[in-house]
Amino acid sequence: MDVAAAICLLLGATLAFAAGVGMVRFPGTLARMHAATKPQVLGLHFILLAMWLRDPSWKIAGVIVLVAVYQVVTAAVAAYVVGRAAHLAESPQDDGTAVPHGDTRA
Amino acid sequence: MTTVYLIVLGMLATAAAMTFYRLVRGPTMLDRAVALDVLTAVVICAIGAGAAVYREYSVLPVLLVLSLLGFVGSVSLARFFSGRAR
Repeated sequence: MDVAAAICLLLGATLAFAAGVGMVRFPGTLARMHAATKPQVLGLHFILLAMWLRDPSWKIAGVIVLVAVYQVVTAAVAAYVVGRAAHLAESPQDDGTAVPHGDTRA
Repeated sequence: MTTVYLIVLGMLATAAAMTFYRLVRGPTMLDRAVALDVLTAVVICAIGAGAAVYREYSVLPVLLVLSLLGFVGSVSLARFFSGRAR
C-alpha cells in the first residue's frame, strides 16, 4: 500500500513539474493553458489517491472525492472563461516569451 | 517514504518556481491568471503530499478551500482583464 502511495505521489509531482516546464517553455496563452491542466486534474488526483491509499477509510474518502470533483468542475469552467477571453483578445500564438526563444512553435 | 517525500517536494518546488517566473513575466493578465491557477494547484499538491506522508488529515478542509479559491481568482481575473490589459 505504501509503495502504491509512493508511486502515486511521484507521478503527481512529475505532472506538476511538467506543468512548470510548460509554463516557461510554451510560447502563447492558449499553449500554456494546455500545460496548466496537468497538475490541476491528473496530478492532483494522483496526490489525492496517494492520500487515500495511506489511510483507506470512508471518512477520508468523502472529503477527497469532494475535492476531486470541485477541482474537475472548476478547472473546466476556468479554462473556458480564460480561453474565451484569450480568443476574443486575439492573443498571438507566439508572444516571444518562451524561454529558449526561437522556433519553438509546434 | 522520506526519500520519496524529499523528491516530491523538490519537483513541486521547481514547478512552483517556474510558474512564478510566468506569473512575474506575463505578458498579459490572462497569462498571470493561468499561472496563478497552476500555482494554486501546485500548492494543493504540496499540502496533499505532506498530508499523505505524515498521515495528517486535518488539512483536508484547506484543500477544499484552496481548490475553490484558485477558481475564483482566475475567473475574476479573466472577467475583468479581457485580454488587453498588459
